[in-house]
Amino acid sequence: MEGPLIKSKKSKVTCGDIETEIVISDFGDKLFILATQFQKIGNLTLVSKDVVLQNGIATYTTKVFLGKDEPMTHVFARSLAAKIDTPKDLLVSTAFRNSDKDMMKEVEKSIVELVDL
Amino acid sequence: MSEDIAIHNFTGRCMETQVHFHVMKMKDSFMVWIGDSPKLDNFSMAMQTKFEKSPITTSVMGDSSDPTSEAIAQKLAKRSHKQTFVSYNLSTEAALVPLVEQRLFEEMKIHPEYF
Repeated sequence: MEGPLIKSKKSKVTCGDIETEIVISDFGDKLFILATQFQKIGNLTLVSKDVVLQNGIATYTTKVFLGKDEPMTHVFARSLAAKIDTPKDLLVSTAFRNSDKDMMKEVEKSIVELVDL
Repeated sequence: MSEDIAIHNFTGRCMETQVHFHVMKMKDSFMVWIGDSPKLDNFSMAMQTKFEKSPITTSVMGDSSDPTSEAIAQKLAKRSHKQTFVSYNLSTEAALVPLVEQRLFEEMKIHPEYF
């Protein structure tokens, strides 16, 4: 039997001096992305890509399932979805120590790199 | 910093179905995905609180009228005293659920380090 049914990757990076763990599991119809600085699931957001319009601009729907429904949570998940080239929905879980913009950008970059790996 | 997030995959044969399990162990919590094909349709969470005897559960995503994943999450939370996330993606055939739970609990006994 070849490998597990659910493929996953993980990495540990330092973003804005904070150790951040990233786990990506491919559940077939959804990509589960965990980026945590607490080793826990914090916010949980679902991002689905809507029908791509004729002009090629995709629209996204974000829905926060767990955690504070803050604009930043939506923004992070939405931005991530735009950078990851996949038809799958994204289930994004984030737990950050602060909402430093540069740190979040580093996390985003690390996630995109890990997805492409 | 405590140990890293750990991922553990295992399978089990329950009735005629090859059931796959995918466990992600985090700090004081873990997530279990159960299914026979790659999809994630529902997601439930359970945790022990000091206010009630049995762990509280909530359906985070998916069909909230199907209590299977909530029930499994509740049992896991009770056993492990941790916050648990469960995604159950099999047919809701009543006879299958106890066998799946049995396999899961068996693995928890053999490999408690992964939960």
